[in-house]
Amino acid sequence: MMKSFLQYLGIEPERYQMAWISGSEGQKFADVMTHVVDEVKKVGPNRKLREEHE
Amino acid sequence: MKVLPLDKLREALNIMANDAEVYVPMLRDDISGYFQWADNPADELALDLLNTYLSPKNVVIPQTEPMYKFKTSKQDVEITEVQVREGARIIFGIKACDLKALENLDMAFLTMGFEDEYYKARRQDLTIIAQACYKPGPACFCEGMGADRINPAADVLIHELENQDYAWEAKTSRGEELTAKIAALMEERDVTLPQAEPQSRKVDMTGVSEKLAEMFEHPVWDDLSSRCMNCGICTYVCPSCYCFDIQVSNRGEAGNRFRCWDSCMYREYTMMAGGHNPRDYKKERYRNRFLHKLQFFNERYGANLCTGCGRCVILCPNGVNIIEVIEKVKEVKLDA
Amino acid sequence: MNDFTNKAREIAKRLLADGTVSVVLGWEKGDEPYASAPTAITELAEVDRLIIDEYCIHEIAALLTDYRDGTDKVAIFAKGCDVRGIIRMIQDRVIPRERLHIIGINCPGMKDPNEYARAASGFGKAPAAEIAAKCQVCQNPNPFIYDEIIGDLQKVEPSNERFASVEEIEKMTPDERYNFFAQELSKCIRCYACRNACVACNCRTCIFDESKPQWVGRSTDTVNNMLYHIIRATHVAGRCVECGECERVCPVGIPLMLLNRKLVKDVDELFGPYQAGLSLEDDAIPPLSRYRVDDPDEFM
Repeated sequence: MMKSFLQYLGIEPERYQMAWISGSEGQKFADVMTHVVDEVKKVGPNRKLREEHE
Repeated sequence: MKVLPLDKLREALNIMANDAEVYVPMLRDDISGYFQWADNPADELALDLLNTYLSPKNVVIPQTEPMYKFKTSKQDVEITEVQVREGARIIFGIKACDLKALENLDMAFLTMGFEDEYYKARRQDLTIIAQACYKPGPACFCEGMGADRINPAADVLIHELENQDYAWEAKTSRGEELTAKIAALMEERDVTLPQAEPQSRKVDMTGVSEKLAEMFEHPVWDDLSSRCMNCGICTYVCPSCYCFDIQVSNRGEAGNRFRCWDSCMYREYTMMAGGHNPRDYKKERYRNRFLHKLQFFNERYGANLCTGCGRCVILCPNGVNIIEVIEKVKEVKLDA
Repeated sequence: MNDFTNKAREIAKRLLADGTVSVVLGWEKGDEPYASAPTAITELAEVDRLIIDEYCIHEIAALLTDYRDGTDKVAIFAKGCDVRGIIRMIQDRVIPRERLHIIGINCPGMKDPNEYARAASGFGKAPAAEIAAKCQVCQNPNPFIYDEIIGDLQKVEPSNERFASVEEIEKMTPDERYNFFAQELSKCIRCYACRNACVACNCRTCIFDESKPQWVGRSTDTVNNMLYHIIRATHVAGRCVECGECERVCPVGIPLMLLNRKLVKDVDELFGPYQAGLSLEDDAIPPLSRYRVDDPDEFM
């Protein structure tokens, strides 16, 4: 729902990811994090929904 | 009398905007307000409107106004920049109701031993070009609130003529200075000023403030407030509501402190740190709005905090009408 | 609709006189021909203030939150859309069905008193519609849960157009969509009328009134305005009864139903078919308020 809604508002879906990871799944956590970082790097710096703080 | 032809108006505004922020009634989509001239190319000049939905108070109290920036390091806080916005400002085409509201704001922010430096910075170099109001609308009741809609006190007074040109009268030395800058665009002409049409809504404020002082606990507030849904439209479109909240936004060690409009209609407005709320229900919030407008401000400053612009009457989604409230208050019979 | 007012007064008098209810929620007239406004009548002597005319557009069920803490019975005049709002209030446990006496009004469609007030004001240029836009596409003019009813059944023109404008937005590129919503929501003045007029916004303490923590900044910039509207819309996802009041009451004309309808559409597609506020049965509670083993679980 949230993902689809953010897409509708023009936010890249890669920026909002969800995964279910149990406390015992250390490797899965690492894999998911690497995946998230890779995906976000691909879409580049976010300029949307962002306050400008100088 | 001096006349500024309508087709020279844009040029005149451009000249004024060279060395001042100029605020003019404009339409942004279908919302009218006093927006800054040449700020947004999509804004449409809207001097043919009677008045604007959004009041001109944003010129002196912007809805969100930066106050200062700070940086923290361990135990210390350093203020890195104080954001007081001085500078020349011009408001063009303001009507008597809103001008009277500006007087209210002056009382609240500059008198009784308190001077608000942020307000003062925006107010001190403000040149007021007021427009005489010959054709009031169905929601207007400024006369009942004591405004002089044909001759409001301003630096320049303009009158819209039948052919939509503007008769131009400089009233103060500041007004003369401004007039000199655009003198080349003006013509000297004999003019007939329009006939003032009467205002249909009447309101007589005699004794209302004193009576309200006896009515804090009166059950009429239950009845009156039943239709209100406690949104903040009335307070935010009101030209004389001036309540604000001071807020902060942080990122790491740096932050901005700013103030923004607040509304007595909101539950958060009176929420105390310990969780108690002295105005927990809508009746109390509703009552406070009208008492502040019609009683408390009178007691402190000797004026009503309502100037009869009619915006809240037009825009309230649930039909709350301050004139009906005043009439109901007058009908109430108090026990001796 | 002329006899509606007389019937409404008769019914209200009866209910207050015999003690069935202690308050009647209906409408009364202000000082302009178009100025109908919601009201709560508690005294028999005041019943003749009640009116029902073509300007009674307000979603009156939103006022039920004022009575959540009592035990008294409340009579409420309700159009089709108001009945959907009342179902929202009952399902959200604001007020139980037993405390309500619902007087249904078969509704021919209403005019928007605010549109008329604005058109007359000289403060803007938009004309007022003969029948409010939201009423022209109404699929529920006739109350379907009530204790008594006023008026004749209205014919419904079936329409599948309610997601058309959402689909238009979906066709845009992501940047176009973002710019569109950023532009619309930058106009917001944070008066919270969309929240207060909403039957689904019935929380005792709203997240936007909280200060510890403060979930959304109070500054009126595009980002904080967008965050406010994203959160507001998602909080009513699956519970929005599509009455369109948020959009009607907005003083700056933000097309808020474009946000709500997207979520209505997604709930319908993912968990549906589902429409909020159409039934009081147990299986009609909002999908996001219950769990089912066959709920979609794309990330589990």
